[in-house]
Amino acid sequence: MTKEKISYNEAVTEIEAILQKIEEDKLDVDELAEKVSRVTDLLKICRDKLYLTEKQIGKILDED
Amino acid sequence: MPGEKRSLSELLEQVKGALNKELPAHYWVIAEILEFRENRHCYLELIEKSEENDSLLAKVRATIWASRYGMLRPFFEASSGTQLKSGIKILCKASVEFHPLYGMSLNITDIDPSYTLGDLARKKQEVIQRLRKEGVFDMNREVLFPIVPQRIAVISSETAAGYGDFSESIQNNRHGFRFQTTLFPAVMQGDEAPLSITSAMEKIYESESDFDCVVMIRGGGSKADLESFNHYDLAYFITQFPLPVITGIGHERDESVADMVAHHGLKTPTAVAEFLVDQLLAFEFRLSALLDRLLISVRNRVQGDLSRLERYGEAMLYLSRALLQRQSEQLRQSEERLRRELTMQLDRKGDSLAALKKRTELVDPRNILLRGYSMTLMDGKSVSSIKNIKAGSLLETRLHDGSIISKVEPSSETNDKGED
Repeated sequence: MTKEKISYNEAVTEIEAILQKIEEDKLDVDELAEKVSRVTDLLKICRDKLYLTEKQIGKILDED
Repeated sequence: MPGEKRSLSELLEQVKGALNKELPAHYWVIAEILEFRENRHCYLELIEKSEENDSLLAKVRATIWASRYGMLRPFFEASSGTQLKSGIKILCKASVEFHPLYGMSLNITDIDPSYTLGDLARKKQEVIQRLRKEGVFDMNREVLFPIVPQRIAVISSETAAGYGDFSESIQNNRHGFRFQTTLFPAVMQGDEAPLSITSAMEKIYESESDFDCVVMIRGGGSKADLESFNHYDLAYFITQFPLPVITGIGHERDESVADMVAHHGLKTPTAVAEFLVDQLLAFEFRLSALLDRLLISVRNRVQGDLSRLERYGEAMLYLSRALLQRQSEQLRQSEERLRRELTMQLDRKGDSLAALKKRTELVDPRNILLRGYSMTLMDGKSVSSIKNIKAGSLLETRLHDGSIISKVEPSSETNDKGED
C-alpha cells in the first residue's frame, strides 16, 4: 500500500479522472495497467479510512 | 369620628377587609416573571413593563402554594414547552391577598400555558425575522457538507442520556464504520445554556480543521425548556459557524430556531447518529460504484481491443474471399466467352457443309427417280428421243427400286415406216 495521506475528496476526484480516461479510451495498454492499480489502491485507502481507526491505519503504514 | 386612634394592625385589617370586599374574586392577570424561587411552594416576583421603553409599570409578589404548584408546574411545562422561569410572560388566575404582616401578594391558582406559548412563539418569530433580515439565516446550511463526516465534535452534557445514546449508536454502528468523536461539554438547558453552548463552539473553532462537523445533542433530560435553542445569540452563532452543525436536541413539537438554522435539524441524538452512519454508507456505495465502473471500463477496453483484432481478421477474410470470387468470376467469364466464340465458328462451318450437301442431293438422279420419274436405257445408253428406236428393240426402264425390260412393238409412230 502506498504511504500517503490523501483526503476522501482528492481520492474520489483522482479516481473519477482516471475512469474517465479509461472510458474515453485515452490510455495505451501499458498506462492502463498502471492506472488500474492506482484506482484499486485509492479505493483501498478510502475503505481503510472508513473502517479502521487512525491507529490501525498507522500500523498498516508502518508495516510497509 | 375624627381624632379616634387605632393600631396599625387595626388599620391593616381594615385594608384587608376593604380589599376582600372590593376584589373578592379571582382574576386572570397578565404579567412577566421577574424572579422565580421554589421550595415546595413557588415564590414569584411579577412585573409589567412599558411596551415603549421597558420601564417598570407595576410589580407585585405572588405565591403558588405547594398544593397547586405540584400539579400546575408539570402541566404548564408540558403544554408550553418551557419552564416557569424569569423572563417569560404568563396569564395566571390570581386572587389578591393582604396580610397585615407580609403585605400584599397574589395567590396564583392556575396558569394558562397557551398564553405563554403564544408569547414565546411571537418572540421566536422575532428572532427568525431578525436573522433573516441580517441575511444570515441560511449561512450554515450553505457550508459544504463533508463527503465523509467522520471526525465529529459533539456538544452535549456529559451525563445526558442523549449523549450516551449517540455514542452507543455511532461507535457500534452495524456497518463497522469508525468515527472519531470529541466531546465539548456544555450545559444544555436552562438560562445558562446559550452561553455555555456558544463557548463550547468557540473551543471547537480553535481546532476547526480537526473536525468534519459539529453535533449538538440533548435528550433524556427535561422535555421542557427548548427556549434556550430559540435564543438569538445561539442561533446567530450557528449561522456563522464554518463547520456544518447538526442538531439533535429532542424537540417534540416545533423546531427550535437552532434546528432551523443548523445544516441539518434532526429530532433525536440517535437520529443524528443514524444520519452520520448513512452518510458513510452512501460513500461506501459510491466506492463500490467506482469499482464497478473500473471493472466495466477495463473490460470494455480489453474487449474493444480484442474485437478490433477480430474485426481486422474478419476484414482480411472477407477481402481475400472477395478477391478470390472476383478472380474466379473473371475466369468463368473468359471461359464462357471462349466457348461462345468456338461454338459460333463451328456453327458457321456446319452451315456451309449442310448447304453443300443439299445442293448435291438435289442433283442426285436417284432422288429424281424417287419422285416418280423414270429413265429409259437402250443398250446401256439413255434414250432421250424415239429416233433410233425400232420395233423389237429392248428397252430398259429404270425406276428407283429396279428395272423393267420391255420390247418395242411396231406402231405408226415407230421408225418401221422409215425403214420401208
